[in-house]
Amino acid sequence: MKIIDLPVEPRDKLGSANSRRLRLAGHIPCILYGGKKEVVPLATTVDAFGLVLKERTALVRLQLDEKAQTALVRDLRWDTFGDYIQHVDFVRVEMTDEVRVNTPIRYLGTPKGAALGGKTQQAKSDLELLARVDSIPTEITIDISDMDIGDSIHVSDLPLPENCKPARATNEVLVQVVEPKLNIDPTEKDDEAEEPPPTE
Amino acid sequence: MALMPKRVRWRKQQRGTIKGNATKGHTVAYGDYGLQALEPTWITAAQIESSRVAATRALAGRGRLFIRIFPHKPVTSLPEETRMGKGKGDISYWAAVVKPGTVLFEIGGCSDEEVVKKAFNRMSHKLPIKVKLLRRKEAL
Repeated sequence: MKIIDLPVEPRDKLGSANSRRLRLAGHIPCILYGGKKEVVPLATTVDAFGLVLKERTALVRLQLDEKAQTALVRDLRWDTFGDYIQHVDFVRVEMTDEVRVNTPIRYLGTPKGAALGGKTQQAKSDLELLARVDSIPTEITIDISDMDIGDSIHVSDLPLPENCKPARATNEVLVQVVEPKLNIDPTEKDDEAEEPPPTE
Repeated sequence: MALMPKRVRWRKQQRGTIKGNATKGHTVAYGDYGLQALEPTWITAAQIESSRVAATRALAGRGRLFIRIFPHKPVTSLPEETRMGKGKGDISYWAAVVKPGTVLFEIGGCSDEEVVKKAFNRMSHKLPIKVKLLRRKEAL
């Protein structure tokens, strides 16, 4: 995962009203915690944080008072309509720490079983990993084009990078191609039901 | 069969008001795409059901539909040509109270975005408000 230098400045005026003013001025209120050190309220600019979103990385190097601090984006709070970011949580990490992260899974291709009428069921869109900070993958890609009807891919089948392992012990199904069921919609049946023959 | 509660503590409710935007239930939680309300409204059980049927037919088994709202609110009305008074009317229908931003429906497991858009378009014609398509925010 790529590290991005993120310029931040300490935020001395706290509270919802000050945060609202900060957002109107094109900033994002943030907070830095973890590492058994004090909690530091921060602010960054929308443009600077936009690069983090564009690169799809959670690992940042915060430039605070000429000191750099490596941190992970722990939480992002979006507004109600998902248009802009309201707040960001950063957690202090060292490059050799082991952390718990959610990594998105990207499925490539169309299963060959789908051409035979099979139905692809994608059970998970992200996976929780225990990974060393310097080995966190940006995303996990799975090629599903060779999957036939009845095939499935489990967590244990994933080619994970070094120093990465699934956070949960259960071997969950990620994607499977199943036989199609007869799709009978009860409402549709009602609509098309023939009228009973007239009784004499 | 339209949705309605199995059992309620109080049979009839006052109308209430819808203030502000949704502060919960406004993100895509179960599927990959969501249909988000942009206006405050009551969505009736019949509207939810007709949206479900429209989406099921448009998807044709190519994805799973999640209904994120439930009609908890009983709405009463007086019969036609009835004089005012003589108490509150009988329950006419059940409605879900929806604030702007609420995710009404979600679709998951469908890799073809055009099919999802078609399904949501059909659903939007069954709803009394403006809606928009929302994609799942992937973890960083």
